[in-house]
Amino acid sequence: MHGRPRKAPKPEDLAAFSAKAEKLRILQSQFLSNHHQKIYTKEAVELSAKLLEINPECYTAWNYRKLAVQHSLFESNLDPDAVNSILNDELRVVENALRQNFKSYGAWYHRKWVLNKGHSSIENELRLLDKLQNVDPRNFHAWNYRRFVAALLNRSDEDELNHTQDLIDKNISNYSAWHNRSVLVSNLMKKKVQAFSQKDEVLIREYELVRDAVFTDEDDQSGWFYHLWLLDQTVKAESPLLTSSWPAHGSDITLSGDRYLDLGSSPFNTYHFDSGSLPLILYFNQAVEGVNVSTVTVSSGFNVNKDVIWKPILSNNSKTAHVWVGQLKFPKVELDSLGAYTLECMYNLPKKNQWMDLVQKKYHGEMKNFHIYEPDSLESDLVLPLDHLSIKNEHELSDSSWQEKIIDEEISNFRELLDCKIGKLTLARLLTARDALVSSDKSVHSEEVLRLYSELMKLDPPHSQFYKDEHSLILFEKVISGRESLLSYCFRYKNLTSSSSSNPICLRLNGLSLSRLGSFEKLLWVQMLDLSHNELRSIEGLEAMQLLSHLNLSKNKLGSFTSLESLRHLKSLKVLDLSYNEIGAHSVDTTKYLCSSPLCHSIGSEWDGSELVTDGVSLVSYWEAFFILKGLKLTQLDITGNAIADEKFTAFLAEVLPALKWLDGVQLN
Amino acid sequence: MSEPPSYPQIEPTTFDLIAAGTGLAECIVAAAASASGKTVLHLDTNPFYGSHYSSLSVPELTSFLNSNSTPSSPPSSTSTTTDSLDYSIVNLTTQPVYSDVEISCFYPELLEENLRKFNLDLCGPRVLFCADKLIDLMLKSGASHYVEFKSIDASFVGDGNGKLWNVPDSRAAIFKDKSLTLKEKNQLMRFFKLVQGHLVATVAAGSSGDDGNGNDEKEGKTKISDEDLEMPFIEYLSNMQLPPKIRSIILYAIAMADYDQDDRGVCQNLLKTKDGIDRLSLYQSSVGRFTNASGALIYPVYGQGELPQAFSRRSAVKGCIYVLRMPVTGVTYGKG
Repeated sequence: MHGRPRKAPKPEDLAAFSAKAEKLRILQSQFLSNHHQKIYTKEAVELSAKLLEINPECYTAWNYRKLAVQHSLFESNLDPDAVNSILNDELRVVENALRQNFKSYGAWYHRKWVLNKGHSSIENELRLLDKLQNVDPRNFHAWNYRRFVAALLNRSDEDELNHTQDLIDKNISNYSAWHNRSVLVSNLMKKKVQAFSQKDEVLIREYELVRDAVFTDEDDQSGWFYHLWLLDQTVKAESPLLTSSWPAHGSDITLSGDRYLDLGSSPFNTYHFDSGSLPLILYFNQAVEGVNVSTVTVSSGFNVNKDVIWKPILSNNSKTAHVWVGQLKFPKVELDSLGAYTLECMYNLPKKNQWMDLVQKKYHGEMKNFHIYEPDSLESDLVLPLDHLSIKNEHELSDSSWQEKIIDEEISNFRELLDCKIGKLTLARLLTARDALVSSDKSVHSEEVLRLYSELMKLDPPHSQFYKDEHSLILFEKVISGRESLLSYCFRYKNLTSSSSSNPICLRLNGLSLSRLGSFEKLLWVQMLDLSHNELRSIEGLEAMQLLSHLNLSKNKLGSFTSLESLRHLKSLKVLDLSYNEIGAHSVDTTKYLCSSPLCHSIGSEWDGSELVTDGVSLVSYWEAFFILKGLKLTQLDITGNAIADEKFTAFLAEVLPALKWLDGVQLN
Repeated sequence: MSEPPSYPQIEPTTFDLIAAGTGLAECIVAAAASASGKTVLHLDTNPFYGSHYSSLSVPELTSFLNSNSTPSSPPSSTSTTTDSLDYSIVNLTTQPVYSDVEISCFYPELLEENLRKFNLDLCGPRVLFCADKLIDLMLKSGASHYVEFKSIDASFVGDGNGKLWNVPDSRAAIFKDKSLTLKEKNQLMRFFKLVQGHLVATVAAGSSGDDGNGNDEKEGKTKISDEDLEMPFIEYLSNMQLPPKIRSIILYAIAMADYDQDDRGVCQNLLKTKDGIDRLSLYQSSVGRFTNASGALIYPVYGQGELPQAFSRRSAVKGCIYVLRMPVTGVTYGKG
């Protein structure tokens, strides 16, 4: 039951409890002696029933009864009447036990066991369930059992769907019924049962139902979840799509010397490398698995190396990932594509001697060292490839008009419910989904969505951080979408004037009050990223930006090294600024509430105890930092302005990062 | 004075209470008195229980009307009071309730065929709220054991164009109603929640002694202002920006207002917000009070006449003596 307050027991209750406990103990010891001596007489079996009707949690007694049933079935020579009466006895005991405790696992399991024998009438079970669900419509044992019975009866999903409808009609707050409905509707759509074969029609019907619920009582959350699920069903792509890749599909690659790569001669596509291999990055719209040489066909005008090993960039222990990286060994070049989505590029590798080593120069995250990147007339067509960095459009589903229609309908409905938080939140989600359907880069509704989230932050202070994060995601996307906007955030490092077209562009998204990052698929090309002066608490998802060599995260709200887990995957990272954050300031690490895949999930499998002690520097006290930093080849790190930064930590860093040349602006020996 | 021989002698001859007529009020009094240990004699001149609260079949009704429309046996003697040394006697006469009764039947065969299928309530059919005080009384007194109710499955309100609208009177009903637009559903439910909040805040204010606007306001449980409570309910509903359709549902089908509240000329009983809210509260506490009643209203299965009978059975169980076909012709007063 839900919402029943717990009361302190009265003295007379306590006395009754102890009397009951005494009685139970006697029953239990009698029962156990019967059990041990394998006594299955009528009296002994009845004793176990008596015990179970008082305490249905006694698993041993249920198991004893199973043995007793087998014993008496054997004795009965499978005479149908006798079998029936034996099994009906069991069902009666279970029913009485459930009356005592509706939530007894043992009792429900015993009932399933009896029914699985296949001699009992199943129709009765539905009647019993109706009775029980009337008392507690959200009991999950009853719902589980209902699914079991429905399967035994071969009841159609439609009938079960009608049952959820009845319960929702009675009380729209029945989460369980809504949830079962989502399962049933999914099944029916998957099986393309008549009346469920047209996805759009089904969704329209379901939207109508849940709309009635949400509008009737906008404070009731059960409808919100179903609406959210429906929206997901509406926009979800049927199969995974390759959203973007680097190098971009169809781009030309220019290799300078043996360590410099120029794709289409655009500064956005220049990449310098020093490891003798070039990363190929695939970004999918959902986590996929099985990206390898056999699923990804690589074609180029060149020598193709078939031995590219694709690795998922994993944030947890699953085998699926949004981002896959293949290392292209030089001088061989490859192209990639997955399954039906063929990615075909021509790589061109003329030799130029324009290699520069950016990494060894000290990087300053200060405005004065940058001038805004202004493409001159000569360069302007070189910027064009920016628009082609995303290959999403080419794989757009042919017909999304029904999705647009459904979402437009929902948008116009929810504009009527703007004076409550769920109305605003749902409208914001709908508008965002609507923008995502449009194949252009322009987000028509982003201004409105941002306004909605701002209003929500004020309207619902307890959840303002959530709205703030959503606000950030939209703002982030708005800022980097569209050439004009993106270019206004692109800067070039002033001191590196030797070759204007080969310097990497620095994307400076500082001072935007960002609390969360997104839209990584559009930023795969970024090598220098400035996110300072924001409100970041986590950098989840940043691992997609595999080319990053310079990263400025100073003056954010990063609270611990676990919130920086993405850094583990950024193998090209050389320069990192973490100054003026809150690392070490919080005794309790709340990262696990912010990230979907906190570090603790991956700990253990990779932890090597032998690394714990190195030259007297205690790694144990900095195990988080150790875990994040140990694989990186940082040459420059700023950690000043964090609670964790002290002499001990400096010594630790020197130990963990042997390649480090600059620490907090000071050159190391 | 000699008793007409048709009336038998009643033993014993002394009672704490003698009630004449088995109407609802008399039956409740008789039940209360006998429950508290008094000796009670309960008389009725009719051959059935309930007096004017009875539910009668058609033949019973015609004979009842006939016997009650003309002055029943006019007082035989002019001597209305008889005095003796110890007591005085006041003779009682009954006034007929009905005059000019005319009984006609248009489809005798049809009536004959269905005669046993229905009863007629003498005081007109009246449904009861599940949370009505009478229901509380029946439960408390035990009279509820002797009567069976049926739930009123649906109620409707008519609009100016003669169309009937279903009355969505609960959250589930609003959710299921197909005639309301989304906005109307939202408005109606919000109004219900506002009333609910007012009632909770009022109860909280009553128990905690403050004005209820303190802590409860945080949870959105705010009282309706005193000024609003004094204004006509219809005006308040308009101020809440409820559309006419919703207003009439609330006014006439839930608050059960009697007169056209829109027309001040006709309306003789303008409902105040305070009273309107009380009626809504009664309605809402009625919905769902009994699991087998689907709506707010119930009705005795065999008619209104069941109610006095239930109380009289209760009193009979507690020792009250019932005598039907026994008129009271006079009352004697002891002198001094």
